[in-house]
Amino acid sequence: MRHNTIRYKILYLGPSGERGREWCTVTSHESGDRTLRALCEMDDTELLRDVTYSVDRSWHPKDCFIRVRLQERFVGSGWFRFAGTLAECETLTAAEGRLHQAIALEAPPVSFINHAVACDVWHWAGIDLDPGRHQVCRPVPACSPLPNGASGPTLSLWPLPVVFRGRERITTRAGVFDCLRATYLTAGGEPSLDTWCTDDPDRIMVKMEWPPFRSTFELVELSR
Amino acid sequence: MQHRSYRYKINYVGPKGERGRERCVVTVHGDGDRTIRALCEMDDSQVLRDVTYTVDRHWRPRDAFVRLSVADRFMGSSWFRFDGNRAECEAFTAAEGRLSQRLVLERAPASFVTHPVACDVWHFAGIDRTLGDQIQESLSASCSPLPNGASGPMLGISRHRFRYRGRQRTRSPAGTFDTEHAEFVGRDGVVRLKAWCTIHDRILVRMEFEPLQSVYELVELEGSAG
Repeated sequence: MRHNTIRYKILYLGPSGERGREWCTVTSHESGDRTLRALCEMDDTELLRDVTYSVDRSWHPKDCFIRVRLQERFVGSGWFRFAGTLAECETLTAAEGRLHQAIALEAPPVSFINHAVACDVWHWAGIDLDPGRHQVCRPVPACSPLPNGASGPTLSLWPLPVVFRGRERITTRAGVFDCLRATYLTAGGEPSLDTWCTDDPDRIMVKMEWPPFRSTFELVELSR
Repeated sequence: MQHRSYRYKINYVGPKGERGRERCVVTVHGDGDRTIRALCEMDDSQVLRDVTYTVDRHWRPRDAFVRLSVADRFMGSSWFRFDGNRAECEAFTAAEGRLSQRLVLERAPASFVTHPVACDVWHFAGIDRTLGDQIQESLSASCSPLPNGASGPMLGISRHRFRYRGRQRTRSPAGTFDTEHAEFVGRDGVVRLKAWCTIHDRILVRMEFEPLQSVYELVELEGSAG
């Protein structure tokens, strides 16, 4: 096969220890396209999410499939496609039934929030690496407006203010990594989610800290 | 989490040795629903396929996602949904572009051919095991009419003819398993495919597919399989 494959596992950690996990398999292709398959489990909220998400060489979304169960009940199964400024969604949700959505965006989307934490470091792939300067990733469609993504999946928009912090060396159970660091901000400009990803073409999530939800996310296994 | 899960790997073996592989993760839920995630690689035909497929407690299809590339070129990304005898597909394929399909079948499909070999042993989950060697026909939906499924995923209809061969003890590189054995039989009466799977979770243990001179073997299994 011509593609390359990376496999990794991320742990979700709370004050009481492990509260979930995410298994990821990423294939990267000659065209520059990349597909991530993520299986996400959150123990405390009893959330199970499947994501299969493809991006182009610039990390811009191409298509995505998301299936969500919450407390062992079906929440939804949805398919998203992005073409130029068009974002569309075909979905079946327990709450809304069968929906078709099409949104004309102000510009081609720079990313798509599918709620796999592995992709939270992909959203800011296109920002200027200019430490300290506030920037906004937009437009960024999302599959759910909830912090844990436990709704829909349906289309909405979610602007992402972010600030690049610089380069740092981070140690996790998976090893020592040279990282890029960026922090997402609230609408009021306060730090919200701190993120570190590998400073290489693969943008693997190494660590995230999310103080409002007392959560840390850590890369614990990596095979590439 | 309340669900149980298991992971397994199937190797595709041809006359020259390994010619592909399939990694599967299955979750089984309290309501009987079951979701498989299969990543399939065929080295010779350069097919890469992602399937996320959910069935109900009777192994009947609920919804599926299929994404396919051949020789590192995008072929299609499609979503399928089933409700009684109605089937729908929302697809974007390299050949056809964006399309929506709605089919009303003569009855609710017994299965959906998504083309991971792991699911080939799900198609005969509903056969009548009391009929012995008698050939039974079932109606399924399909995402591709090609033997290797290497076309843009779209809805079609597939009619299978099975012959149930009973229970057997079957060995594979992953171990020895109690299995049930069935054959897929062509309209000409020729056996096309022989399959063996575990009794409860229907994990493919072995499959023989003469048209592609291929054998499919379970080589790894871990987790809470029943």
